[in-house]
This record gives sequence, C-alpha cells and structure tokens, in this order.
Amino acid sequence: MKNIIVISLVILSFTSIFAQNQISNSIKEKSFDARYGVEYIVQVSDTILKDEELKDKRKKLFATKYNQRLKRVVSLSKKLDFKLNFNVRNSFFRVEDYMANNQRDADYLNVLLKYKGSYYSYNGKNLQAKNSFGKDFLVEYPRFNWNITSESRKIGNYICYKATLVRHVKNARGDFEYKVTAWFAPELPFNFGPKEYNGLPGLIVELNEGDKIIFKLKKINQVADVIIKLPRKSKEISLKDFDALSEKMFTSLRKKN
Amino acid sequence: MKDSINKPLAYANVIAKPQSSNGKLQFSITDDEGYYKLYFSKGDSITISISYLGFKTLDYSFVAIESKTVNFSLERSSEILEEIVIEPPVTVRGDTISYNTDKFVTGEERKLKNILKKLPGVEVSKNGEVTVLGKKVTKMLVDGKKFFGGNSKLAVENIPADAVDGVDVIDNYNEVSFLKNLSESDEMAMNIKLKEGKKRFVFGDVEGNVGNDSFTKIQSNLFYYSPKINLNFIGNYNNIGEKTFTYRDYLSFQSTMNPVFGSKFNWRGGNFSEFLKDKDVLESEQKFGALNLIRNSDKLNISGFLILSKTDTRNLLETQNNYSTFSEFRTNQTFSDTFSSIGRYSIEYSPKENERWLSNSELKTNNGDIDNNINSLVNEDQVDIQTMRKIQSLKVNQIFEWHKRFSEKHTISSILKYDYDKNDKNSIWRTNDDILTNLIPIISNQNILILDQVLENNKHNLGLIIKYFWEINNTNHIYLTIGDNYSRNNFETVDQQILNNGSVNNFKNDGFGNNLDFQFNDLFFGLNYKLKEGIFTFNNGFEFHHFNWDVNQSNQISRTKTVLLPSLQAKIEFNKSKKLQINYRMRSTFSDVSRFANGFYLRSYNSVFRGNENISNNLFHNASLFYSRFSLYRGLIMNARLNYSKKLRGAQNTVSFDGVNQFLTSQMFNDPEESVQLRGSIYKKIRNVRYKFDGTASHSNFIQQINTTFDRNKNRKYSYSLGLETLYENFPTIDIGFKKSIGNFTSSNSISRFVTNEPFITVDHDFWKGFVMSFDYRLYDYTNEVLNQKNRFEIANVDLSYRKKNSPWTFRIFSNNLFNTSFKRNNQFSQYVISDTRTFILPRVIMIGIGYNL
Repeated sequence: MKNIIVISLVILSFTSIFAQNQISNSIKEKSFDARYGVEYIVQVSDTILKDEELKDKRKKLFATKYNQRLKRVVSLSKKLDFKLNFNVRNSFFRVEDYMANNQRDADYLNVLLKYKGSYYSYNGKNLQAKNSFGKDFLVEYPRFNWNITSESRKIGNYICYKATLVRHVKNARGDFEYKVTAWFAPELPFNFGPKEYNGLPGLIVELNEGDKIIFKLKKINQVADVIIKLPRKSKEISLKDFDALSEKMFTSLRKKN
Repeated sequence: MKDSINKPLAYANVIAKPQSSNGKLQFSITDDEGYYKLYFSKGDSITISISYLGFKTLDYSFVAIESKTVNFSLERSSEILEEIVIEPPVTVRGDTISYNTDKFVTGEERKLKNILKKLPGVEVSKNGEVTVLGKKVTKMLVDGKKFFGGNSKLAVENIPADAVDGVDVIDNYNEVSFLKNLSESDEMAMNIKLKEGKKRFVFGDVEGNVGNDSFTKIQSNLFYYSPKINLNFIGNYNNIGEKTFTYRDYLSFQSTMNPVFGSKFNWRGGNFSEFLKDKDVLESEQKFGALNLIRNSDKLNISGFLILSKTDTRNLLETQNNYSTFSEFRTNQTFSDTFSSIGRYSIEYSPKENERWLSNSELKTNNGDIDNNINSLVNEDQVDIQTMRKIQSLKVNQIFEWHKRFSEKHTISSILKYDYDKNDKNSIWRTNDDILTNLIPIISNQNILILDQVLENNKHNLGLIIKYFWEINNTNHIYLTIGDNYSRNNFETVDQQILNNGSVNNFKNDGFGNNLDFQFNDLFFGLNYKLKEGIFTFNNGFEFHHFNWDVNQSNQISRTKTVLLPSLQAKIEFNKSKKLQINYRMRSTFSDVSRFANGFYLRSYNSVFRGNENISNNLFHNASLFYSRFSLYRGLIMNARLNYSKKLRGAQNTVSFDGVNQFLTSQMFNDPEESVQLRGSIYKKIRNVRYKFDGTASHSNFIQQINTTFDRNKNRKYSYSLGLETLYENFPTIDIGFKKSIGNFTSSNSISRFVTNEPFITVDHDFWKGFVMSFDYRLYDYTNEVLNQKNRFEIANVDLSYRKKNSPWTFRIFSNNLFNTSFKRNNQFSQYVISDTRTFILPRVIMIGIGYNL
C-alpha cells in the first residue's frame, strides 16, 4: 500500500509541473462547464420470457415488467445530461433538470446509476449533498486511493490515462465490491470528475463504474466566473457516520429508543 | 453461450480479464445464436466472466495457447429478478410514500384500518375515508389492482391486517403509467401490498356475534388470489348500526375517467338529499353482499364487481329551530327501506406497453321507501305531518378510452362517455292540521289534507375529449385539449291535492307543475404550457368554452355564452420531502336543471320552489396552496392547506318567509359567496411518543335575500385537536387528546356562538399471548354561549378478543355505546335557521362472538 501512495504522489507532482507548462495562467483562473452523458449497459431480452421454467405466471409478469422498465430506464438515461461546473479549486456535479414521464422510472434510474442528490469537490473535500430521511446532508467521502496505470487511450482530442479503484460498499443490502475505471486527461489539469470521483491528476473524461455505468464527457466550455457554494443548512457528516445513521433509520420505529 | 436448458443466450456480457495487472480488459456481447469471439495474445492468462440478467455469473480461467471453442452453460439464479426492496420504515420518492408496515404494527391489528391508523401521516375517518398528509385517497388498490373499483371503505374495513406487507401512497396517480407525469390530478392512490404467502391462497375471516336484545352481526370476508384470478367476497348482516354501505357510498361508486381529462363532465345526478344526511340510527338492519372479480393476463385485464345492499333504518330527531323571528320544536321520525345495486364491468387492453384501451360499463339502481313523521310545535301551535316517499333511480354509464404514446415526444389520450340518469320521486304529505294556506292553492275544507307530488328527471349526456401531449424537450411540454359535451335533460313535476272524496285538485292552474326540456352544449378548447426550472415546475394555461343552451317550457329561451378560464400552477420542490404547491383556476359551472324550471313545485311540505329560466353559468375563482414536509430524521410530519374560493357571479336562492313556510326562487347575483379554509397538522415523534396537532379554520360569507332585505351572513368555524400517542413495544398503545371546536354565525339580526370540547382516549393493548383489548372513549361537552344551552354526552366502546397462536379461531366480546347514552347532540346553521338537534342512537350493545380465520 505504501508503495502505491508513493508512486501516485510522484505522478501528481510530475503532472502539476507538466500542467504549468501546458496551460497558461489565464485559463487557470477561468471557470468551466462540462457536460457528461451517461450510458447504462444492460442486457434486456425477451428470450427469458419464453423459458418453460418460468411457468409461474406472476414471476413471468414480473420479469416482463422488469424488462420493460429497464428498457424505459435505459432510454431515459440517454436523454439526460449531467453537468460539471468547476474552477481551479472547486467543482459541482449534478443532473440537468428534466420532467420525467414516469417518476418511478426516474427513481429507478437513480438507483441503477447509484446517483443521488449532487456532488461537490470543495476545498479538497469530496462531498455529496443529498436529502435522506427528510433531512439535507453533506456526506464527506474519504479520499480514494486511485491506482494509476500507464495505459493510455485517445478520447476525442485528449490523451487519457487509465486509473482504477475498487470500491467496498457495506450497507443494509449487504457487502459489495465493484471496480471503477476512470480515464483522465492530464492536459486538463483539474482533479474533478462525475459524481464523487475526484482527486485524479486531470479531468475525468470517461468514467466506468461497476462495468455497467459509463459517464462520458460530451463537451467542455469555458464560461464566465462560476462561484461554487455549498448548500446551506445541511448537516455535514462523514460517510461512515451516515451509514451508521442509515442503519439506525432502517430499524423498527417501535423497537429502538 | 447457452442457458441451463441448453438454449442459446443472446446479449450476455462477456468480460475477459488478463491475470497480469496491466493487461487490457476485453469485453464482448453474445449474438443471437449465443456466440461470441474474443482475441488474446498467445500465452496470456485470462479469466473470463460471463454475466447475464437472471443467471449466476460464471468465471473461467485459462491460458491462451491456441484458438479453441469453449461452450459455457449458465446456471439460473433465484434472487435476480426481484427489485431491490430494502427500505426504511418510510421512504418518500417523488410522488410516492412507501410504508414498510412491519415496522409500525404491534400485532393487535385486526383490519387494514388498524394498521393505517398507526402509519405517520395517515388518517382513517369513521366513514372509511383515508387521508394522507391531509389529502384524500381516491383509489384503493390491492397488489396494484383496484379493489371494488378503488373504494377505500370496503378495503379498510375488510382486508385482514395479517395479510398486509406494505403500503404505498402515490400522489398525482394515473393508472396509465405513461400519462402520470403529463397531467396534474387530485387522484391519490393507496396500494396495499399483500404478503408473499397471501398471494396464492384463500384467506379471510368469518365471524358471528350475538348479543342482548337480539342484536346480531355476521360478517365474512373471503379473498382468493392466484396469478390469473383475484376474487373478493364481502358479506355482512348486522342490526347494531354498523354502516357497511350508505347512500354516500352508493354515490361515491362512479366510474371515473382518467385524470388527464380533469373534472370535465364531472356531474353526478340523482343526489337525493334525504339520504345524504348520514344520521345516526335508533334502529337499523343492514344486509350487504359484494363480489369483486379480476382476471389478469399480460395484455388483457378484465374486472368487474357487483354490490347489493338493503338497509332498513329508523331515525329519531328532536330539533329546536331558531328562525329569525320565532322558534320551532320539531320531532322527526323516519323509517327508511332502501335497496341499492351496483354492477361494473371493465376491460383494459394494452396491446403494447405504450398503448391502452379501456371500456367501462356501469349500472346502478337505488330504490327507497321513506316514511317520515314530523311533529312541529310553534308557539303552542302543534302540527303533525306525515310524508311518504318513493324514490327510484337508475344510472347507466359507458366509457371508452384510448391512450397512446407514439414516441418520446408525442402522446394522445381520448375518451368517449355516455350517461343516462333517471330519477323519479313520488311524495305524499298527509296532515290533519290546517297549514300551508297562503303558500299552496289547497281546498281547505277537508278532514285530512293530502298532497301528492310526482317529480321526474331524466338526462342523457354524451361527451368526447381528445388531448395531445407534446414533450418538446426535457423541460418544456405543451398540451392541447379539444372536446364537446352535450346533454339533454327532461324535468317534470306534478303537484296536486287528493281530496277526501277521491277526486284531485291539480295546482296546475295556479302556476304549479313543470315540463321542461333542457338542452345544453359545451364546446371547448384548452392549451397548457408546462415548464421545469430548477426546483420550480410551472403549468399554466387556459380553456376556452362555448356554451349554448335551450330552455324549452311554457316559453322558450336559447342562449349562448363564451368564457375564457385561465389556470396557473406552480410546484416548488425544495427537496424530496419538502414541497409547496400553488394553484389558481377559474371555474364555470351550470346549475341543476331544476333551477331553470319556471313552474312552482313543493320542496317539502312547507317550502315551495320556483326556478328561473334566465339564470346562466356560475363563475368562480379558486385558489389553493399546499405545503408538506416529511422528515423521518426529525420524526416530523407537517402539512398545511389553504383554499380560497370566490363565486364571482352565480345563481343563489332567495327566500320569502311566511311563518315556518318558505318560498324559494333562484336569482343571479354578483359576488354572492366567498370562503377561505385553512387546515394543517403537525406530528412530531420524540423518543417513543408521537405528539399531534390538527387545526382547521374556515371563514365564509354569503349574500342572502330574505323577503326583500339583503344580508351578508358570516360563518366562522375553528377547531383544533392536541394529542399524543405512545409507541412503546411492550406497553399499550394509548392515543389521548383533546379537541375543541368553535362556531360563530353572524347575520344582520343575530349572532350565535357554539363551543364543543371533546376529550378522547383510545387504548390498544395485546397481553398474555393472544389477548387483544381495545377501548375508546369520547366526551362531548357542548355550550351554546348565546342561548346559554349546555349539554354533554359520552360515547365509549370496548372490544376484547382472544386468538391462540397458530389457531384459526378467535373469540370476542365487545360492547358499543357502553354508557347507554340515548342521544347525540349537535348544531347546524343554514342560511335561514339555526338548529339544535338531538339525534337518538342505538342503546348499549353487548355482543359475544366467534370467528374463524382462513
């Protein structure tokens, strides 16, 4: 573990020198508006329904409905735009306004994308702003230990490097582990990206979460100065404490004091 | 790639991971035949993992040395198809609130209503209405299917508590899912999710109870659920005053159109106000049977229900009526026998996910015999009047709907609706006393005065609406509406005196009697623009109506009118659980045909009505504001609703008094009515106690013309209730509180003020493994502060039951009206009179019973 940290620190310092050479100071003071599209990779097929093993009508009906919903959700995901606003210091990531034709589909899409609320990188803190149990929270994520590889690929005009990460999630549903792959462009010397994925030596151009969710940078514009402010009246809480709180909220109202 | 029974599997995910850390990952998807191909460098160590929805992920490691074909078979996984359903006790998602009922129940609940009462934000009224956050539930679903057409009362009173797994409340509900977010509606649905084990079985309960004075209650609920067919049967016989089915319930059963069509042609005929007074009874016998049948398949859903109800009741009321110049003491006894039947048959066909056809046929009948005896005492003048009424009504309704979502951007909804409504009423009044002389042209030298009235009203109604929804982009929508509604209405009345020698004195020559043919057409066009901007969603628009109507009676009138009705709506979603909604709209309605009939007719033995053919549409401003907040974190639930309504122009009754006799007619007035209502509640849970506050305030004023004077009357009502409820696990659930109501009525010559204090307590307790006790008590303490009248009465009920664990048998003993209170007392004020009424109720009932749970 120590080795990895050392290596990534070396690369970080290398990149900042590299960045100073490439990007003029004027740009560093400007703000940007980056738009991401999302793809959700899912296999939706009707063959499953023809199976004799699914004799149980109810299960079959459920499978049909589930597949229909997945199709709708995937088509909804293609309509959405995600927006990352950032300046040199801070960033703000959220989905653009939309009127969902079916709210349940929209909710389900958020579940699949593991997306909730909005995300900030603020003074080096990695924060998620969300409303849970009727309360506004600012959940602070611990720093990610990115594993940066030398593998590179050209996406659009940018040469991107691959960084990986394994997320361990432990919540009421159980223990999960999934892999996150980020392709970041050192030419864009901002350590931000979609959702809570920040802290790489370059803007994340493509993010692949759990092999199913892919955020892709669609375009990036330079805009007038954007001031990024954290939402007021939100409770700041660490991810660990938030998970403990969730667990408490999930238990019976009558059994606990 | 093949599945477990060797069929090729298309679109499976194939991922190849090189075992060396910096190797590139490879990805492929199988084709229709289940084949896939991947290329590797020679000598690579590869792990292939294959995943597919509904199957276990398979991992396979090998070293790539030569080209070869490997066949994989995937094993089916059992857990995959379920959606993720682990939820906290309450979740709020968009318009949906989900309750995980297991986390609220304590085990002593018998019926669905007992569960619902424990859910925060949910209220169940005595007559079976359910409200969530102050809003009424309009559709009751069981496992996503309408239960008896969506009626809430039959569900809350009959579904056994132990079958319930969860409750979802869906605001702005639309059963056609692709229309849900295209329209704002007042529909709120509650979906009762049944426990997994209850989904394929017969369940229900049968119980029989006997008591003192031949009191009896027999009840059975039998539910059969299978994947294809759902069947529900409810049967009830009782003479202990339980109102299984009232006339109000009869009215509430009406086929509803999809909410995208709004409240257009939302007229309901055949309201007999005689039945609507939901009075307590002194004697009652009720027989009730209902059957609901649903047949499901992927595309076709056929459902139907039949309800039969026979109710015989006796009511006794004693009323002190204070008119502006004198007072009356009145004893009113009514025997009423009614028989109602409702049948509905619906076919829903969805050939594709984005298309839906619906046909709904309904037939309703209601027949009643009402015998009423009134004894009226005014200044020691005693008058006895008998009324015999026979009421027959028939209603036929047919709806066809078609909805289609052509693409992501274009959706069309259409409806064709036909109604036939026939209401006949025959009334006979008999009296020995010499009354009504000035009001009605009677021949007065008779021993017994007999008046006979026949009133017939039938109506045909045909309507068509087409709506087009255009979703321009993610944040802008435009909706267009076009439609027409035609109705033809025939209203006939005959009033006559039957003389003691058998001949008839028809009042026709004195201007009585009606034969009115009324035709009405409304052609309309509407446009709405919906926009989302951050936390705001706006939906603004207008409707243009072109009315024309012909009133054809002794004279003929043809008129046309056009109105433009704007509507504005703003929804502000501060976050998922804090919302504010503002609505404004202008509304236009037409009065009932009887108000256009220009001949006299009797409304009751002492009141004569004459319509006015020259009245036109009523015009209203309606505005409302709704705020809700739901925080599980703080244990806080809040909601507040403000309604404002102003009648800009409309028909209002004017009254001329002659003693207790009244003459009424309709006239158009400007600004005749205005009202404001505020209603709110706050629930806060602190440790194991939930504190509750509910409050309402209403102010209204209206113009009244009595004789020749104009009055603007003011009516103010306030009430609040404070209470707390214990939520300990091994301690009785105690709900204790206090309610105070204040009423103020001001007219030019009188002021009245009533105060009612109601302390109440409800206790539910389960003890000694299998015993369940519930007790409720309420004290009514009432004061008329102006007349200095005071009254108090107490109502208490107790219920004890025992059911051994795993035994189907339940033993029960219960008592209604434990203190044997003989009457309830209440006050009413109308435009003309302030009344203080004693309603006599059933005496104490003590019952023992036995039940069998399936």
